[in-house]
This record gives sequence, C-alpha cells and structure tokens, in this order.
Amino acid sequence: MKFLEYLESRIYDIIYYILFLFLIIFILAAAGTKGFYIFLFSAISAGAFLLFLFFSFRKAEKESEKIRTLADSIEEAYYISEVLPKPRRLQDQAMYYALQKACLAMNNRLSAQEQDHQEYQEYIETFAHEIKIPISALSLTFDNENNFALKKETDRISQLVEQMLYYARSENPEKDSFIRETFLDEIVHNVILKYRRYLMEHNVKLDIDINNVIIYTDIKWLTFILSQIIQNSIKYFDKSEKILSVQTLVRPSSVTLIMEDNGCGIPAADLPRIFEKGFTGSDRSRANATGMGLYLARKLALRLGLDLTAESAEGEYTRILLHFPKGTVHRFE
Amino acid sequence: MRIAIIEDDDRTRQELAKLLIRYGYDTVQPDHFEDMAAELTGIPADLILMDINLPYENGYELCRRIRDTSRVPVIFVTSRDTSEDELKSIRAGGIDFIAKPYDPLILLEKIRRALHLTDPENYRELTRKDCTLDLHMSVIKYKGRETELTRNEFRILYYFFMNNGRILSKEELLEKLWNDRYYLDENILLVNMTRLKHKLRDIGITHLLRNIRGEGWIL
Repeated sequence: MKFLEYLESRIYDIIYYILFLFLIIFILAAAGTKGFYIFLFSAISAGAFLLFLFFSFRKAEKESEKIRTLADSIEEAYYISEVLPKPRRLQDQAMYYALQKACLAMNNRLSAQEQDHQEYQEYIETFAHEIKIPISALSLTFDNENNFALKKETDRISQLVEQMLYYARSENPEKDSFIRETFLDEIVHNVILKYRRYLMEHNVKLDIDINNVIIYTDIKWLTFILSQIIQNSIKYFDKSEKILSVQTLVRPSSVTLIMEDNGCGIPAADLPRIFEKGFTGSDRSRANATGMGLYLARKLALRLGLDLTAESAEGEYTRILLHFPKGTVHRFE
Repeated sequence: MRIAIIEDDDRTRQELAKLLIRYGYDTVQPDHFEDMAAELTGIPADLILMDINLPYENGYELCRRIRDTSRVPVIFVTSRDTSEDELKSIRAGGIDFIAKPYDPLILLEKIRRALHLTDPENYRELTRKDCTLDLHMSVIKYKGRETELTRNEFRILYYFFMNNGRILSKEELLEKLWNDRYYLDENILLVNMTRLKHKLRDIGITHLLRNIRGEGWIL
C-alpha cells in the first residue's frame, strides 16, 4: 500500500519513463528490429526500472523513519530543526527552510512569553509584599483596638493575598524552599495559634496528640498547607459541638498527620475532585470558596515530597491525611 | 526593657509602640532615616525591631553597621518572606525574623525569647500574699494547709503569680493558655476558675484572686 503511495508520488517519472519506452519501441520497430528483441528489451528495461523504484522507495522509507524517530525522541519538539539532517533535494531544502523558520519563530515567541511570565511573577511578588504593609498596619490597629470583626476582614484579605502569592510561587517552588530540621508538633501548634481567634469564636474543641517527630521540610510551605486545611475545617463546621483533632500515625517507615473535623463532610461524588484546581463543590453555594486552597495545598505537598489525601463521610467528618515518607522524617520518640 | 522600633510606616510604628507599651516595654521610635546608624548609637536599647525596606539604607546594611559597635539583639520585621530574605537576615546578624502581617502573640513571644525573659523554670516555688505555689508538685500552700491542683488550674494560677498586680482578662488568659498548648475554650476556662476559687477557699485563701467586673481578675 505504502509502495503504491510512493509510486503515486513519482507518477511523472513513471509517465515519462513509459512515454520514453514507447518512443524507443517505436524507433526499434521502425528500424525493423524483431518483435522478440523489442519485447526482451522492454521487459528488461521495465524490470530494471521497477527494481530501481522499489529500492529508492526502501531508501526513502528508511530516511523518513529516521526523521520520525528523531522527532519523537526529542522532548522539546521545537528544537527539531537543529538536529535534522540537512536534505539535498531542492524541494526538501525548501521544506527544511520553512521548518527552521517556524522553529525560530516559535522559540522567539516562547522566550518572549517566558520573559513576560517572569516579569509578571516578579510583579505579583512585589505587589504581595507591598500590600502586606498596609494590611499589617490595619491588622495591628484592630488588634490594639480589640476589634475582632474588622480584624477578621483583614485576615481574610491577608489570606487571599497569601494564596495568590503561593499560587505564583507554586510554578517553581524550588527557588524558594528552605529545607530545615523542625518539629512537627511545633508547626501544628503555630498554625493553631494563627487561627486561635476563629477556633475560640466557634468554641471548637481541640484534640491534639502529636508524637515528637523531627521532620525535614520547608516550614513556611508546610505552614501554608496546614493553614489551608484548618481554614476549610473552620469554614465547614455545621454542628453545635465542633471537634477538630490532629493526630499522628507513626509507622516504621513513615509518619502520617491526620487532621479530622466533624463538620459537614464531603459528598462521595465530590471527594475525588476536591484537590482539583477551581473545584468548589457541587453543593457548597453558601461558602465563598476560591477552589484554590486544597489544590495549592496538594500541589505544594507533592513538591515537598509529601502526599495529601482525604477521606470523608457526608454529614459526619472530613479527614485530611498528610503523609511524610521516610526521607522527610528523622527520628521517632 | 527598652525596644527601638525602626519602621518607616508611621501607622505600623505607632501601633507597634502601643502594643509594646501595653505589655510593659519602653519604646523609642527614631525616624531620621538619613543617618539611622548614628542616631541608634545614641539611644540605649535592649532590643531592636527592624524593618527591612527602609529609605536610604535597608535594614540588613543598617544591622551590619550597628554590629560594628554593639551587640544589641535585632529582630527583623518584614513584609518580604522569601527564604532568601530569611537567610540574609541571619547573615546580617539578626537573631530572629518575623513576617508581616504578624500575630502580636508570636511577636511578643519572639521578643521575650530574644530578651531571655523566658519563664523561670528553675524556680521551685513562687510566693505571693503568703500563698506558695509549688511549681514542681502543682500544689498551693497557705498557713500549713495545701491543696493539689489539676494541670489547667495550676497553669491558670501560674499566670497570675507571674503577672503580679496586673489585671488578666479572660481573653488574655486564653491566649496565654493556647500559647502554652492548653487549648481550652471559654467555658472550660470559667469552669476552671470557679473550681480553683472553691479549692482556694477550702484551704482558707479568700484574698488571693479578686474579680474585677467586666475586666478580669487580679492577684
């Protein structure tokens, strides 16, 4: 089949050859050559031509295959023009030229885009830092005035700015992570302190039982992850007796931090989707959700080499599990 | 204890001073940023809270220059919170680092730590108004009689012993308790206060804690 296609692509050569053959046959016949010799000549000539066509087909096939493998093996396909063998045929050279042009245009576009993206990211970073100055002034003022209502609004602004900042950073967090030895219980304690006003306001009963585990991680990132989880717990409490428990499960090769609340839970149909970007739940219209919190939490957790999973029964509980594999844990006591 | 606040945002500076004064610290707020290092050498301070983005000269450089002449501890207070900033602050000779917007509770804790004002763990007992609180046994003694306290009751009483003569409000007690990982809610705190008063009365202590309506309690 492929050979037929190839023949089709060389149709002019073939027509030319046939016409030429006829011409020779005509001349031979006119010169009085015997029919047998004319036939013999034609058969040999046609056979040789077919053989020639077949071998050039095989060669073309081999070369095409080489180019295809090359194209498939290269990760960033827009560099393909750099590695292709330079063609000798006129038409192929034009194609090659066109491809080079296309790749160059693509590369230029890409680096311009990357540059823009980086500048944008730097702007976001600067913006977040600048806006934290007035936020901080407000926050401190409301603290001093014991104005919890406005303090809460300020906290909300601060949390949203934080989320934006971490979203911008989540593209390449390696740039900003600082792995240090730290105590898991201390990080949890600080996150609880951060949200103490909310927990006290809702009369949340805390049940904290954390083994004395040393972990190696970035404190800031882990704090952000735990903050997202605790914010969700606070947001989705729906019973009069509210319980938030934080426990550790220590296994020989890993530690799991289990954060469980007895809030409204997550419908089974939604559970597999809660870590998706922008997912705000099928029936949670009352909450002002961005759908970014858990998405970012999981993304950052994976970047830190941790895993974040969830279990829930609707109306009963939500349990978020953060797994620290062996490499991130030092010692159990 | 005097704390120098170096911060170019006026509002933040004033509110920070207000907060620190409320917690019993003296503050100075130098604001001539053209020649801050020179101004600082003329001001005796036990601790410096230093912003990083300052006019004329950033906080790191300032800190390095101060280091030439003095060993006063510096805590960096900044809206930039990248690990690079944290590293720079350590290199510049800062002893701690806190990101804006900060939680007063955490800021105050860091200040206490920097000034080595941690609670006197090595004391065995504290005595106020003839009542003795045994820190190891969780027991309160008065005129030969004594009663045992629960974990929570002991902790609450401990704060009153440590804050002699200051009114402690319900909110402040809760914050202190949470800071020390006793996550009680308001109801449980009130139950504990009532039980504590009964226990104290049982061994004849009626003069120790005074209720100030609408404000809190005082030792």
